[in-house]
Amino acid sequence: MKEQPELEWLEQYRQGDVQALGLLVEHFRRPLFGFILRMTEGRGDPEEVFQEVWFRAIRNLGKYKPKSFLSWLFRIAHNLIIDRARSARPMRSLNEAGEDETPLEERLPGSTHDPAELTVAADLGQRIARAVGGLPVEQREVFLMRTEAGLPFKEIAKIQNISINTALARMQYALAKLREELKDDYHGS
Amino acid sequence: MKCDKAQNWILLDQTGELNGRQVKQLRDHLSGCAACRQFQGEAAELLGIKARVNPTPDHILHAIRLAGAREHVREKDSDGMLVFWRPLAAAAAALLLVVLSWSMITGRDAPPVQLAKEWDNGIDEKLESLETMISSASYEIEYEYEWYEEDADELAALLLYMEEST
Repeated sequence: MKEQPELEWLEQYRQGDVQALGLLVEHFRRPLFGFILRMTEGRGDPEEVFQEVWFRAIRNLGKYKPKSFLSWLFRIAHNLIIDRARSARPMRSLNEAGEDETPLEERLPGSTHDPAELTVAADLGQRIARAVGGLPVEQREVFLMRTEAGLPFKEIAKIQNISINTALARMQYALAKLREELKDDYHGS
Repeated sequence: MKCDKAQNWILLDQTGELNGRQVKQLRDHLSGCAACRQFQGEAAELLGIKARVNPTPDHILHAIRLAGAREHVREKDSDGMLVFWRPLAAAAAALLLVVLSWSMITGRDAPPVQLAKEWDNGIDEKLESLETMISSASYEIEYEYEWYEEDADELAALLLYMEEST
């Protein structure tokens, strides 16, 4: 596969190939949806947000300058999540059932297939999700942009409209809190 | 190097945002600092955490593709409108340019401006004649009213005379 297939797909979509848009969506689904999933926990439907991010991206594709498409998508997601937070939707707790009657925390199981390991991993996954969800929004966002998309701090700072030192400080605070929350998982076994 | 700075550099090193000289300085610091080495290990572990994400549901993909197709249609439509209006806008701009250039070069009004002024004068004349018609009509109405007033006075005097004589 080429280094930046997204640029080719973008061009194909601009030429009228709607299938290329599907390839773009799939290519960026994991980091983008992972970010939205953890940023919107308890605040509405992540699929709806994911869809709206793409709608906005499609509408504003003319404004996109070929740098990092993923950073651009994250910027849109960041603005959209802020807009939705301002609309003051009621919060749901992590273990409260959503519209699909599946508690949000159950959507974060581990990655192993052995039943015993799966239980432990799912438990750890839940604790991690809870710890990340407990971070202040700005710190959580920096953490998720870094972990889900691997965005460089320079890009994260631009998206959050802060200095790179502030972005680094937010990450330091986030890591310190997560270390504290998850210390048993580090030193317990 | 202080540990605060070193720990920021550890984060930047993981995203490839340090230059070669900075990487070397960081390694030098790490070789002699157990606390920063521990931070490096824990940060790498915590930053390796990712949410589990299911495949995008078909209806979402379908909705996004549909929006993409609609946007293409909309763009084509708006391009068509631009193609239609572009010559008209260009012609208007050219006419404006000619008028302004004419005025600047000759110091007189350009023919279209003169035409507009003549048309303006014609309107003034018509308005004046209309005003004259209205004022003469109102004079006639006033005169006839006076005439009726005089007749009424005469009639009233006749009635009074008849009453007195009976």
